[in-house]
Amino acid sequence: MAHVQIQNLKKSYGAVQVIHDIDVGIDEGEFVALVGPSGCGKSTLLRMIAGLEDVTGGTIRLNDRVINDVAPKDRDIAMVFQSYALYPHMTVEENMGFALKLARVPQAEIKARVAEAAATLNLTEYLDRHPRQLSGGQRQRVAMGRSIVRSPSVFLFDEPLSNLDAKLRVRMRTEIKALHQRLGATSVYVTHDQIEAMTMADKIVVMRAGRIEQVGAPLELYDDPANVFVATFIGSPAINLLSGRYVERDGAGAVDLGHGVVMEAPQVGAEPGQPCLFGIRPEHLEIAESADAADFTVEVIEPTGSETIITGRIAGQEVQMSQRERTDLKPGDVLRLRPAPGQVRLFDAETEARLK
Amino acid sequence: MRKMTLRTRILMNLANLACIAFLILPLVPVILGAFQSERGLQADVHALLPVEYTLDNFRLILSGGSDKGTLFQDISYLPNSVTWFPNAFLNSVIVGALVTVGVLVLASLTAFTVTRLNVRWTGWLMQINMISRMVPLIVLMVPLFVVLRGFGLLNSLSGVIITEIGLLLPYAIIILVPYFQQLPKELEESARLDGCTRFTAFIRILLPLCKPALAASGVIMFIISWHELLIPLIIVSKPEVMTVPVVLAGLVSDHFVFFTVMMAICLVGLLPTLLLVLLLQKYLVKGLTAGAVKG
Repeated sequence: MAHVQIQNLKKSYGAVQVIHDIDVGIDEGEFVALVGPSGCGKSTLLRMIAGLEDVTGGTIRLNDRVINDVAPKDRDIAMVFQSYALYPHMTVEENMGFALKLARVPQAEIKARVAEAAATLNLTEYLDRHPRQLSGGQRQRVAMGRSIVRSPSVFLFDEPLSNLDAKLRVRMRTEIKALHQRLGATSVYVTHDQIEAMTMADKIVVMRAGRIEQVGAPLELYDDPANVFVATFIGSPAINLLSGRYVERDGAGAVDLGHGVVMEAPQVGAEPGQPCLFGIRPEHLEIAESADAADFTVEVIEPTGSETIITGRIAGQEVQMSQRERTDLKPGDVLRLRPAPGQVRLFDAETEARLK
Repeated sequence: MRKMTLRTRILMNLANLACIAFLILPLVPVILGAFQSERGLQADVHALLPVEYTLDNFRLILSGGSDKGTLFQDISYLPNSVTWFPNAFLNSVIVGALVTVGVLVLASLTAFTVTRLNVRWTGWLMQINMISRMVPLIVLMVPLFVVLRGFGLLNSLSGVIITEIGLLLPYAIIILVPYFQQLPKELEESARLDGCTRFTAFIRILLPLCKPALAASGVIMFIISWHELLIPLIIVSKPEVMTVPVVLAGLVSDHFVFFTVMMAICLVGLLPTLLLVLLLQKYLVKGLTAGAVKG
């Protein structure tokens, strides 16, 4: 196991800088997810850790040793690729033992370690097959097995579940997490799927346009987003963001959403009248008949089984709420909604930074 | 897809047969000619089948003229080419094999460099590669002769081999580059993380995956090299370093033409390429159609 320290990391392709001064630390045994939209630089960052991309500036340290110029083969890092990258001309056993063979590990030991990893991943009966004879999920497991047999310092995963169907993806997610809990290996996992990141990671690094937006534990990011980007990226359905103006009422904070709707909000260091975004997650809207509730006109009802997502309007702005209970609401119904206490997050309308 | 009607199917089969006949028919008179005497051939040029069959033509060429059989025992003159045929056959095998191996080694390294190493000048290399093939070979012959003479490579198999590698390399590169391009780069990257250098990843991962393309271009290179007449004809004048096409050309002169012997040489000369195609058949179709559909 190892820890990774990334400091002031930069990457440019010619005049175009794609990674800007990234600072992040990955502790021993930690599972870190790099998330962000396509093109945010998360895969580039992972490939730089692997040694597949040159470093333009800054340092990557593995166990306090700078590895910027160390060849990929000498970094003791294993990577699971999105396309699995299994060698088509080798059997599953040969694929899994390839790295050990290159390292001149004795044949008997290779066989034992491959058998052990195969047993862990339920691949024993497929050891003689070629990758083309396996299903997507089995290929995925072989790709992981190939990494496991090496017992590397760090595991890297580059969107490993993207090519699987939705059901298999959920199963493999659980398998990867269980495997990490068992092996306790330092892992860096790239994904654009925030659910994957939330469910698997100890720590999430949210990236946008080559910069880190926020680093934190999954629920920390969910509950305490640093800006609008993180607030909207984490959570499904996404957080509601209503435009309004910050006001103070009876010595407490509130947001005037227009159309005579004023909703309670935390008291923040903003000027009265300052444009802001009123953020509330769908599950934090409650049906209430109190005076501080606002009218919500139902437009669309989407039952998912475990919950119902109801889309409608408050003060003319689109809002989604979710509720666990079954409902017989119809489009056109009007409810009275209010935010659950302490769940409103305010953001600056111009800078999109969190107002505290 | 709409099912073909019986009429369309018959027409398609007929067209197919016509194509096959067009390719195979010229071989028929060669086969028939190789198994008969010169006299029998000349007696009735319109006859479909020979009056008598003989293996003497083959005996003559395979023994280098020493076993004349009944057909040639009274002949007063045999061209030098016949005497040197077994040697020329061996020379052709050596040249064909070494040219094919040499071209494949250099072309696969070039294709790897062009497609994987992101070196700016490789684009230019490909352009020059394409342009160089537009120059007719005959134009290059005089300068080539002078250069080879300078290096002392005239009248040597090495001279022929080096020249043919130079001639065929661009073709092999053109065949191999698209094949290398369609191999996922993650395979090489994965190998590099598994403990390979770029070169060992090329040898252990990429090259085995290119077997079909290597087989296809290998067969094409061997066939072209096997048939090449101009290069050995100009570089080689000593009989001991002649190749089969040169020997064949030597059987035609102003005073005589040994038709049946030529046909026997043609048939024997077909064997190595035929054998190669049969051996590599399973890779050939894969290699020639690679990248046509998403795999």
